[in-house]
Amino acid sequence: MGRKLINDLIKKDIASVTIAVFVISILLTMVTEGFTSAFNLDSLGRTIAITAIVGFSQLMVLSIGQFNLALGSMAGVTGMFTAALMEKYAIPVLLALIIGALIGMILGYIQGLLIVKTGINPFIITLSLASIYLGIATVATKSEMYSNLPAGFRAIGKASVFHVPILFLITLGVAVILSVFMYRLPIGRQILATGASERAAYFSGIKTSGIILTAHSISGLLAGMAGILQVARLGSAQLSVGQDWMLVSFAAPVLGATILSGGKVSVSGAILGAMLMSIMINGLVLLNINSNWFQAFLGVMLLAAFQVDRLRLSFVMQKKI
Amino acid sequence: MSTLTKAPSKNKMLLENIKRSSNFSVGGVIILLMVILWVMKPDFFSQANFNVIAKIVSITALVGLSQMIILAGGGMNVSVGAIGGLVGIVTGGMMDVLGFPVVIAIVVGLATGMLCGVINGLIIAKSGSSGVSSFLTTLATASVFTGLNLGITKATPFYNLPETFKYIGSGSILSIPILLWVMLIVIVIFGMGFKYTSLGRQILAVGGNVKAAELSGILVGRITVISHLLSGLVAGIAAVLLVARLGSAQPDVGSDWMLFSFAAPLIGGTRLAGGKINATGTVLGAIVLVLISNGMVHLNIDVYWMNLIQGLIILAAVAIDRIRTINAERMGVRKSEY
Amino acid sequence: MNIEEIKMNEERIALELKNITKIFPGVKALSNVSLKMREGEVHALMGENGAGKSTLIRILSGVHAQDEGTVSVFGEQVHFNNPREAFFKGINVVHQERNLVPTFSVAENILLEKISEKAISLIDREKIFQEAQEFMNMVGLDISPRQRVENLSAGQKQMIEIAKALSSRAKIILLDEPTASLSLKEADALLAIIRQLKKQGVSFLYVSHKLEEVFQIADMVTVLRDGQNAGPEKTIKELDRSKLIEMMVGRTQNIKKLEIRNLRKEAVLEVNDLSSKKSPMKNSFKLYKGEILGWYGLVGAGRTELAKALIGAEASIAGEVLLNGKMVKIRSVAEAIKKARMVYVTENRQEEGLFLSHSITRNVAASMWKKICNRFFMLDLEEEKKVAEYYKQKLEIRTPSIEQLVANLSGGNKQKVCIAKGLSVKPEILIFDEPTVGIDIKTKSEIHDLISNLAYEGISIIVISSDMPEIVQLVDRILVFKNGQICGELQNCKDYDPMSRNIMDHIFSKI
Repeated sequence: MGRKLINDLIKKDIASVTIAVFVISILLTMVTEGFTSAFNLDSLGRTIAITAIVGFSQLMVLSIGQFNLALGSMAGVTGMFTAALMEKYAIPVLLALIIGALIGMILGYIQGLLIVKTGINPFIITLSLASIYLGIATVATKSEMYSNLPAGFRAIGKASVFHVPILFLITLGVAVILSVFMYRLPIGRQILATGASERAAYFSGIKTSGIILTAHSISGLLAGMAGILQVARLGSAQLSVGQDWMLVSFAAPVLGATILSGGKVSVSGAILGAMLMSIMINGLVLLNINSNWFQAFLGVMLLAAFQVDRLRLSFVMQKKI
Repeated sequence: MSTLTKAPSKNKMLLENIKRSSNFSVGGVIILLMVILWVMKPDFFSQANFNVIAKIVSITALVGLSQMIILAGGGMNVSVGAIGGLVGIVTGGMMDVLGFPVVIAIVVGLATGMLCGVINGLIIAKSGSSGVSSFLTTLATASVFTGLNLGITKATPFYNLPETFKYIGSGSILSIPILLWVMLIVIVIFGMGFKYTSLGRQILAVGGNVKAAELSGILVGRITVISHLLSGLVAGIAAVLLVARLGSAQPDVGSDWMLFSFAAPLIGGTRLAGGKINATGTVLGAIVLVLISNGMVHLNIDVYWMNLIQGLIILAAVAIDRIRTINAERMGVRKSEY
Repeated sequence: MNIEEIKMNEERIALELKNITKIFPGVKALSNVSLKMREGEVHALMGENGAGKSTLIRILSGVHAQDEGTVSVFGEQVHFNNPREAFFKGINVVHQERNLVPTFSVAENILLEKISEKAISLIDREKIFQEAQEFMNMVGLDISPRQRVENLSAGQKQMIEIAKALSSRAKIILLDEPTASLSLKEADALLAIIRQLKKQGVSFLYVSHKLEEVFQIADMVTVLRDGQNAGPEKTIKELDRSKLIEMMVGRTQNIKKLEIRNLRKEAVLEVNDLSSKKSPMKNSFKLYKGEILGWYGLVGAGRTELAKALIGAEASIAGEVLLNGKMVKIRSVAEAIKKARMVYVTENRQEEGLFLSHSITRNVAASMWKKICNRFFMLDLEEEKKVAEYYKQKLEIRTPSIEQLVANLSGGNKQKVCIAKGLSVKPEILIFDEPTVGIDIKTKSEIHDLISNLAYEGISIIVISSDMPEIVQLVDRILVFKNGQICGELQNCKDYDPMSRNIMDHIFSKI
């Protein structure tokens, strides 16, 4: 009975996702023209970068065993807000970015607060907030679009350093910080403990309310970041940013070894999951498949991810008789 | 032994009171809303508008019923709208593009709804029928169904629908819209079904305590599939009625159904956690929702506020559900003395 | 053969198991187990945890199928593919945990199997209420059949389960720890009903850890040990307490007599009028340094609730808590650990004590991650492992590796992990809530030794227990609880008979 099961399994999971990424990339290289073109790879890199951060945002909430259904709205609202700050109110880029990040964090904090204080089913709270946040932003901006953004800001989305998109570097930086946070700091352990069993965590002396607030706040921060980066990449801001991100936000971490019920996450897995998702969608585009079918495809991917998660769980929790 | 001895009739009255109070209080809210609207805009209650409201309520109530069936079993169906959309375009397409007669088109449409439901049910049953699995599965299948919808229609509606079909949406019998008749019949069937049929009780048993249900020999997987089949069917009925009313099969039918599908039953007394439903309440809940949203349109409130208000409504509905649940627990967890 | 034996042979054999073997991947749960139960008999099934009792019950109730061996009901060999078949053959299980549908009425719960028989069938609600009343009368449940189950007491729910078993015209009822969550009064009522039903020809298979109860109600006893019969079945008259234990563990248990201590020097904890939402009666007591204070009471007496109020895990806490003479306000478990160096080891291991999907290392360190950081505020992973290794040795946790997932450990080892976690923060006050419930005798003894040693080292300990022998053997002073209030304080003379009588007097007297 001596198995270091979880670590082994996570390694296996990551190995299999990596293999899948390679296999599909090779297939696409052979079957399509343009997959390996500089333009495509550059674009793909940027997509992966942002998708990964979206995945990180959901990962933070999955770690405590909950879902952030308001992720898309948080991203859209923060992106709009930051753009408005720069374009409408002429606030310097750096300051606007900091304020934007804070806004994202606050949106997440409010969500966590509602969950902790009201005891209402977290699904529904995040579901309602998705509408509420979007609604507030709609009312505030009257659905305007901001497309006159400072060049410095747009550079974040478009520029590269030695052919590596700045976006990608940002994502790697975030990944490193997140990894340290979850694996090497006490609070990371406490978050995972809370995800494994909230009551046991409480009785171990962990301040679980604070942990939940922290997880949601960081999720909001990351969602906001993703929204801002997407705006930078597109060169314009509209409220629809983030509205399509929900499924991918789950699929990426879950394909990448994060467990849905909480207690176990994998940051590197989330990046690989994001890669897998982005490459597959890129493939569909290159194969000239009608974009209307993408939705269906995403749904099937999520179902697959869900099945993988269940298989994983059944290996892990083999109870003794 | 601890004493909770009351003569049966008194207990019966007690239970009746509780049930009455839920429909009672929602009814009160409805009256309040109507008064407010009447004061602010008296022509809200014109015959024409009443007619419109009745039709919207019919569809909303059916959407709520579709969700209620799944809530009864302790699950969630996030794909209610997606199924509706797919059924709508299949029905429309059969008449417009393939030229099938109305009856056949409707049958095929409803069959599509049931098939979608069965797919949901099978996947969820295979994944252990938990609440989380129903949420995630239907989240995914919602995308798949919507994707199929868009893929087939390429986002363009089917406009060419037979007059007989459109009559369903516009006609009345005994000055009551056909839509309303259909809704009432369906609601009564399901309301009675949950109370008086073995299947209905089995679904509620699964929602109340899945382990107890299993131990009593209930086949939870089978019940899951059947309840999702019924949910898909009802969502399909709602879609067919909506398409008839609109006069064209729009691919975006159902795109805004999700929040209301939860809000109507929850306001009406159905428990989010499962095991308890209130069919009449779902209709009352639908009335509340339609009064609010239709009222906002008449009061010229910006369409921009819609999202916000909808989100707040669902939050309120769940808060009410939570308060009700806490009250029910408080009603008497009486520990006997040593 | 004497007259009794002849009579027994003439009686019908209600249930007979021959050479039952059941193998799960990696484990032989049952090996050649046999059992014979006569009509109208109460047959106790006993054994330590992991001895195979639960597996046997699951086979009898149709959840699993045996790999080898036969099951016969009234002479007819049977094979169950699902619980439903067992149910309709007359075998019914009343489990330890309640399995009722809270939103349904009493009647519907009792007749749930019947209601669920056919999918498309109409239900006559009035008929259901009437039919259920019949079974409710049999068990003496005097409430309305229309009452919703979620509002009833544990005892009433238990009775509903029994009525449910009877509704299937069950001739054989399997009771799994039936009085675990019942009050004394309810437990007595249950035993009375069992005696009555016996006369009507119902046979009971009674699984219980409570030896006193078994001696009260059982006719025959079968003991399982390590998945096998620990000797032939015995009539209850042939056995006494120590013989029974010997059959369960395979050796005579030496009841160690530990030193009697009377420590009243310094009060490390003084509690005045402590109350909370779930513990509404005001309670006051003192805890002296280095002593082991026992809290005895029957299930439901309110001890866990008071302990949780003490460590801040409850709502609306009122009253005074003085730590070494100074007032402290404890409003969360985190505060209890930090401010008062007070640790609570829960009775509910599965849900409150352990992270089942995590390793032993992670579990043990869960209360003290902040303390094993280096200069850069990062975790010292080596130190984390060392802590786990230390406690693995000290508490003799049986596992091949500290990376083992806690879910795979046995009950006793799981408890040790909980205790290790508690000890890792170097507490001054330790509260053990039912520390050895459901644990095998060897580990139980190890834990008792541990608690004694900790007290000798100067840690002040509260032991909450419903196990009389455990209390009398282990603690220095006893607080007796009744109805949520402390009703007596006794010095422990560690002599079983007088102490147990004294304690029970306090519980039964009208104070």
